[in-house]
Amino acid sequence: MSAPLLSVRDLTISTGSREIVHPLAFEIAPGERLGLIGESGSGKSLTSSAVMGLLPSEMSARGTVALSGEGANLLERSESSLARLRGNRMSMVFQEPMSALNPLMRVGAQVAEVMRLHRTATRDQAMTRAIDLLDQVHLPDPAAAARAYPHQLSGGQRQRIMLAIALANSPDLLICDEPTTALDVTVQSAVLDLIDEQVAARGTGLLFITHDLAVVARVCERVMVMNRGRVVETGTVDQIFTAPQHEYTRGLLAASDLTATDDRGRLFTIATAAAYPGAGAPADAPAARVTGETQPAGASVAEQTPAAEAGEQSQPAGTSAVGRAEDREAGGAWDASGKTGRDEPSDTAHLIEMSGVVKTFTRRAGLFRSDRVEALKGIDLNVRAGGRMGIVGESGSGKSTLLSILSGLETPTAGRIRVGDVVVDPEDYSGLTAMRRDLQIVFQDPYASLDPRMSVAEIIGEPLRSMGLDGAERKDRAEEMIEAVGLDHDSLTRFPHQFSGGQRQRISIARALVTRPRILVADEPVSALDVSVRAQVLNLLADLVDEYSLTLVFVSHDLGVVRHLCSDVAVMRSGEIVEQGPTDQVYDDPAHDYTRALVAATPTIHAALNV
Amino acid sequence: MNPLDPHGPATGSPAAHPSVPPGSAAQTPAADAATRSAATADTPVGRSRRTAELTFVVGLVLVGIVVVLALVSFVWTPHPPTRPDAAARLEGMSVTHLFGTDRFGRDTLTWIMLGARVTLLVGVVAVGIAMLIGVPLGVLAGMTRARWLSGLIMRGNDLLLAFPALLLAIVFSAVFGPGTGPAMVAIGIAAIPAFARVARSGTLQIMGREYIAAARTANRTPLQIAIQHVVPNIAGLVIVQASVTFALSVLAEAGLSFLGLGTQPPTPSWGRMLQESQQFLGSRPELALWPGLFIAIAVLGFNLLGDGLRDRLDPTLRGRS
Repeated sequence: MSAPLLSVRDLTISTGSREIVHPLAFEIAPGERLGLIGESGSGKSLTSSAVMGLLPSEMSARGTVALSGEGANLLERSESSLARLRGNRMSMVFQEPMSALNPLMRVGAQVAEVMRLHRTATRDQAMTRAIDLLDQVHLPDPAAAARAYPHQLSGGQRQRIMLAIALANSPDLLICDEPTTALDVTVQSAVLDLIDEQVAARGTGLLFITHDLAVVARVCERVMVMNRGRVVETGTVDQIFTAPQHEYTRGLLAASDLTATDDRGRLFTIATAAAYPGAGAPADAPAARVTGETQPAGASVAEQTPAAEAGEQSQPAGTSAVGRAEDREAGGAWDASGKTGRDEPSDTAHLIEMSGVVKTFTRRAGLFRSDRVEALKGIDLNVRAGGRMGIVGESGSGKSTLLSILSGLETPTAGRIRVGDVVVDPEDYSGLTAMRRDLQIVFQDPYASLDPRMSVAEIIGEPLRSMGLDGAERKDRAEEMIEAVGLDHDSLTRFPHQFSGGQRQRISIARALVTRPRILVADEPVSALDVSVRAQVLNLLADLVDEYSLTLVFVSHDLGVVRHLCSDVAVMRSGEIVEQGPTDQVYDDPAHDYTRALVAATPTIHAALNV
Repeated sequence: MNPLDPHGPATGSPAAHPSVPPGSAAQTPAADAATRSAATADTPVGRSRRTAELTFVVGLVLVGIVVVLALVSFVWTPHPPTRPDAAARLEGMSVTHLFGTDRFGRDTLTWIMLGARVTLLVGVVAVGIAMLIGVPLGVLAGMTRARWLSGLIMRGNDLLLAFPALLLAIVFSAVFGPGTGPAMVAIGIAAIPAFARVARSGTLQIMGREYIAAARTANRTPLQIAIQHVVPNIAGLVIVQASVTFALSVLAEAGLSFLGLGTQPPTPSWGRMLQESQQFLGSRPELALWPGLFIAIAVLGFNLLGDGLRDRLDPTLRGRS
């Protein structure tokens, strides 16, 4: 291979006296695709910023960053000479396409701008080329798209625009910083394909930063794993994923594999990764099934082997096993839950019953005009006592609205919701009081769901205050719960900002369970967490659901997480449930096209390795 | 600028203090937090903590000077305030009259000390009125689901805002007669809209947070949520507003007294001292200098103190080490 396109040597990034990124070195050959993997705080984004010369002003970088043909060290170049390179010889795609685009400028002009700035095209040429580029990133009707403003486009379309801007001057190096993290899976899949295609067509070197191992396996040839500012391991995708050398890599791999469980039916964490058989193991599964990008074939092997040994211990077993057998008989996924309801005596009373739930938002669009948005279009959903209902759907599918209505935070436009013996009605305060003793929520964002001005003891004790418990009793219960979620007693006197995301989510879970509810509703509780932490929190949830025999309603956009945790699943799209039934049945044998598309689009390590 | 308008700088000031490191706010939950956590790691926070500390101390010292002067005046003044030294009129600075004397032979330092009382009284009462009325209104407007109610509150607010504060003070002194009391009530009422707006915008922001939803699912009543979650979380904004309003009240009182609409003789007031010094500006400029200097000290002190307090009250800055 010829001289490397980008070579980084002894790159150190520090703020003040503290070193955040320890000396690291890597090279990217022309046209090579390097993945950079790490969890939050690992320094992966800083590394890419340093290469681009975009470090925040309070940070400084030392070492050498050399781009072929540019001679000396980029770190020593002036801002103006770096600016000539950026968007020209190297360019970047950011995570948030909305904040990376200028909201007041038509997207076509923004694509053209980068060519005019670097004088690679005249005004007229630039505009024609911009439309050309929009066509290359597969935007329907590129000429019309060029006249659109960013807010008129969807997230996936915006990311395509970003990619068009980045590729406008045919850069030698493209840096993608979590380009698909903010996108839905089906959109993510298309954008990844596009990056793949465009990079291949141009022979562009790619530095792809992500926390998602499955994504990196799909796009890259070589992977670099970063942890706490150090590169712990570098190798080809195959090496890293089938024979990881470093402990951390193995842990990360084990923790992100939601299909592999230990002998207690729990996910592997970094701590228990030693027992992980490896992502390569299921590759022995029949190749015919694996080629179709769907993982079920390999996955079920991995899941069932340890589960069989563990017998009843593995959690999708037990209650759901009965339901599953019956539903297979019943055949269609549609009447599955109704069938179980009729046939099983224990299920005669569903704990949660929603029928015909409609929610219409009216948005004022002008003085006399208003838009009606149908968030929910008649939802029927039943959850039996002890059931684990997963609700999956992409953004805008109405799953969060459904939860708000279920928990009495929003009033449905029509329909009836029953939880236990209570008909949920936000106007009926005493009914809500009774219902909320039974139903508690864990929220999505651990950074926003805890009041920063309250100590952890106050936060956990809050639901008890409404129940009229005195201070001493609240403290006892809070202590009990903080232990149950695996945090220290001292945590109680501390404030939320002193905890990490995973710890905060534990606090959130403690708060939800302190009233000893029968039902736990979780709204994307792990989507804001790092992979390794995600496994721990999911295990904790599974443990607690077992221990307190909870009924779980778990909302997620992540099919893998739902498959691991839930016995039943409902798939939502634009305010409707398109399919529901036992998890395995829905995943392995989806009846609806949308479910099929969703399952196929979900990136998994197994699928990526076998493509 | 009209010293009676407490709104101008108030709206701009909270935004002008970069106490929260840029990017530290949770932008996107799913976001890779690498840069975020690294950026807030220690340096920027440490730096802002140090400046906050310095701001707080300087503000405390300046306000302390004014408070000490006012308190000491109750037990001791360099010269008896009611018996002017007729032999020593319009004297310059000397050992007996540290700041000099005015045209009646009154000791300037003594009058400055007595004027500090009025200044503080006006500030406390005006801010108290504005805060006690404005904050509950703003929180109510921010929390209520009834659109007509928040509309009513905020339009009433706009109405008050549109009404010139000086006119309000003139009307008050016409109805109740000029004096410290009507002046401070007028200043307080004029400052209500600023508090209501700050409280409402803060409340709207807080109401969107998940911990409010969590509190609602914990079955807390709206009043409990307002007291336990909303008010503590907007306290920082309100305190900054209070300090700005306090400083503006000091200015406003001085302005009103200067115009003869505020504190009446014989009660000493910095504003009136300024006014009386006017005719001697050529011969005895220090007569204007001293009250002017102390007005500046009080205004600056309260502004700095407010900023410092806001940062100290923020547990996300306090708890880090």
